Amino acid sequence: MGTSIHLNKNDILSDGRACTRGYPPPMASLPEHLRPSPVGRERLPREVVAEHQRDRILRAATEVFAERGYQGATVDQIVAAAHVGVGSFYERFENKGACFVAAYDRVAIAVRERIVAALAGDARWGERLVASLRALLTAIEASPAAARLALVEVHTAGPTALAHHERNLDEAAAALRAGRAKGDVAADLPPSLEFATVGGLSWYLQQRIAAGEAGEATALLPDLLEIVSEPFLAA
Amino acid sequence: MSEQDRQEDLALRLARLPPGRHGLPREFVARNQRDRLAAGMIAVVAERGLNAATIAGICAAAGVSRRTFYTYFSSKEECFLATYGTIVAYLRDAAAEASAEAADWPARVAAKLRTTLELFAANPDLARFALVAPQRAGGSVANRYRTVMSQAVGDLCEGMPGPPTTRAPSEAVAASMIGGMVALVVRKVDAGQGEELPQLLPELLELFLTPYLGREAAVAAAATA
Repeated sequence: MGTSIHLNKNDILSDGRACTRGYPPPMASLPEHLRPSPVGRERLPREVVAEHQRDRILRAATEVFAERGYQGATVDQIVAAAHVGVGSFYERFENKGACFVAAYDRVAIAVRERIVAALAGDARWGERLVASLRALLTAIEASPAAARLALVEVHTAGPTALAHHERNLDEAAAALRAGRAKGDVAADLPPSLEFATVGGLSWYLQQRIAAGEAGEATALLPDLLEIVSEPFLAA
Repeated sequence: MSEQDRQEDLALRLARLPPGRHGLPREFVARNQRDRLAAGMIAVVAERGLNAATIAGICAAAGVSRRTFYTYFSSKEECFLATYGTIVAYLRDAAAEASAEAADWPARVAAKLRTTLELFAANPDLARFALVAPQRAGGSVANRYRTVMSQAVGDLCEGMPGPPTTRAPSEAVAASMIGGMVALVVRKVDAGQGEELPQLLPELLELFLTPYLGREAAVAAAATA
């Protein structure tokens, strides 16, 4: 990540957060995205700075979109939260919509990485399912703003964002469908069952997140498991 | 498409809005200006979504003046929510009426789903307006939509015998299943196949009934629907 490149190992605090060497103490208490850019950045390669700034804008945008909604958010609010100039924003993103799509993709990639990391290659399909859902809920709990962006606001941000989301849902449905091939479930299930199950799951999460329950998302694991397994296993 | 063509296109669709028994009653469109505004709202939102819809566009489609619009509503959202309330009440009444004679709970669920799918198929703009647009609008409109979907779950579960006649999955299952059914409907509507929605009935029924009846009984119920 661009944020840690200017630090060395000794700059990491015991709780894993990067410390803020070089800032006066009041800055250290600010959330990371509100801190000014590190001093001495001119020594870093240009692309590292650019990547750092892009990531900073996307993190700030995630908070703004989650708080104001896609329709209510403005580029001005995003650049203010990211502490960058409007020019820097438009160098990287054509408009608010393009920024949303990039912020969505960033969240989706991070969640996928969590899920992949949680999967043990030789586990049974059912175990992989539990591990995937737990990783998903842990990600939601860790960042309620990202969850709201990716599961609630994504529907309101126009056709490109929606297309990216639908591609991810299709991918999840395909992964679920792999269970049929493993012979763990009945074979004569309706062809659209996985699509409908993933649609139902994302709808359920959308409701819970919209109701402000993202912070306790891991408590939903039993519900999610029942939602996913009922259509397949109901005897 | 020129502005004039676009308005004629919308007018044409408004004229098609009440297709008799399976659609809205004719007087819904013509009875008064408020209802014409509702019909204009449906046509414009179905085509462009709520966020891209303008009050000027809605007025043009309804054939009323801006001044008239502001006589009834103070904002686009207010007009949408009023129209949405009317449509939801209409759909729920139609479903309740269609299921009144059904012999048992699975047959009532089948009658409600069939009626809703047929109404949407007769007028795909209604499906775009009631199922697709609210979620994509966000804000208070999406919140209202989530509440209405919870009511729909209640409507479908109404009169369920409960154990030992039916299984008892958690409420999360029903709450999620409505989302799965809507996802299947929206996929068809987005693909421009709204007229084919009634073909989804067996699939939706099997999906919804399986957690309550078990797979075998659900498949049988879906086959006879």
